[in-house]
Amino acid sequence: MRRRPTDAMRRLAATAILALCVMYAGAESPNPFTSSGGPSRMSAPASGSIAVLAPVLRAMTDRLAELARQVRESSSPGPMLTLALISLAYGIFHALGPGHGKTIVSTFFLAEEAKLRHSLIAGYLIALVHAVSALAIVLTLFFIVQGVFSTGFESASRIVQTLSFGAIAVIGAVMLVQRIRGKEHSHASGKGHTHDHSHADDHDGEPRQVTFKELFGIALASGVVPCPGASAIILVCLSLNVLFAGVVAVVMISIGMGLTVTVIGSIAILVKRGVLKASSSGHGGGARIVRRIVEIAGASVLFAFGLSLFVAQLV
Amino acid sequence: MRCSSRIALAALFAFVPVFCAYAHPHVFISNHVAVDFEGTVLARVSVEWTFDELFSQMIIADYDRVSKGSFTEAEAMALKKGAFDNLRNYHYFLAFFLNGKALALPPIRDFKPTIKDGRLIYSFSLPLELPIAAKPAELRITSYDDTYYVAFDKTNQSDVEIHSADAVAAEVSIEKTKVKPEWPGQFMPDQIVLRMRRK
Repeated sequence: MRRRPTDAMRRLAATAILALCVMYAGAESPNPFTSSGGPSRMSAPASGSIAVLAPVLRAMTDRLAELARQVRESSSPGPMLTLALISLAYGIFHALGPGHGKTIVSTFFLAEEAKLRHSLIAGYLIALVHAVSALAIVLTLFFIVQGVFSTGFESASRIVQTLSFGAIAVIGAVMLVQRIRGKEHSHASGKGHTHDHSHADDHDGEPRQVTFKELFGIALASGVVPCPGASAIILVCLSLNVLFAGVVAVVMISIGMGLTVTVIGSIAILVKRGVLKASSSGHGGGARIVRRIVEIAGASVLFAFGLSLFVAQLV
Repeated sequence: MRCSSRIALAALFAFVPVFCAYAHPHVFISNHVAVDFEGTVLARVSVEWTFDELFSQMIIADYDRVSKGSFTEAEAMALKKGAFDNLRNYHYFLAFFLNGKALALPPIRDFKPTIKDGRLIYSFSLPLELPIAAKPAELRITSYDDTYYVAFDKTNQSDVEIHSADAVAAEVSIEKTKVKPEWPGQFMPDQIVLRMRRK
């Protein structure tokens, strides 16, 4: 039986993609105490559901600082193990908020041709980049700059964040241009019927897949902004003379963040796959058109997200 | 799909609002509020914020460099400049409503940072100078950060103290914010509600 994608199906697809992109967008706000100036224009609003989680986050925050002290005082591995586990949980929960690359990764995977393992790779590249970046920034401020850490950190992360938004805008723009110019061999006739000249893209053959270089680019752009929580815990460990505990904590927080980002990336990949599958039953150019819509939408949101946040940082 | 329609599609998606996510807190405060009356005047509201361990230790490491365990005058000044004064851009996380009308935020007085049990505490007061009449008045005090970088712990009745209310009948309750939220699911903090009248 010949079936063409219905309008309802396309609307459904578009709604799913929009919901996914919009849900996770938003910028991390500056620290009101130690930054200079008012709230960021692109700051995300507070949600009732996160208010429910606030006591959990608070308990974790307090526990991390307490455990850092226990690590110094105790020679048993207990506090260190607990510190590692709570850091992991903190990373997972914390990355559910805005920032931390969820919009970037989800829109990136909508625009790219990727398998589930690619979202795992992206998640862990982000974790790696984040851990290295947070450690590098904190250690530089602590040992080399030696000024007031809390204000130094705010200025440093603002610069890094601006650069990262700029990089995201550039990546988004490049992808968008590629998707808009994308090679297409179909010839639409005047009767609204598409003749399909067989080529790789249409037949689940081997469409060009995302490369490691691209995954690393997106991970670098989104993971490089240090999480204030992770940085505070390294600082606390430094001032207690247990740097090793700080390194363990930040690595575990980064892995937790990577896990969350991997899940978000996987959802994007599965949504795209589901939408393409739903629209490809039967013949015709439906699947190809839907693929184009999904990919252009992903790249376009990524570009707009990077650009608007980049501009908001500068003004 | 033609190139022009692809560009139109891209433009359409570029306008997807990109600030709809919900913020999450990094700093946690337990709030303590004292209301001081002088005769029939509500003279001032004094606020005491006790911070979470992580933020406490970061700020203490930054500013308590000489004395270890308390702030010298110079350290307190530096701290005020580096980790408090910027809150003027955030209305010091405070809003006052008298009988439903917003009050202008009074100047901040007597800022003092202290350390207790390893926790950083900020205390300061706001001279409201509100004369209380025989007609009942309702003062609502809300503590919240619009950006939700900072989360205030749930306020309990025991976190509010009333001092020297001999000439005034005052009653405290903790109530939900009445304002309609701007976004679905938006977090609305509880308010301290003070109902008072001259005796």
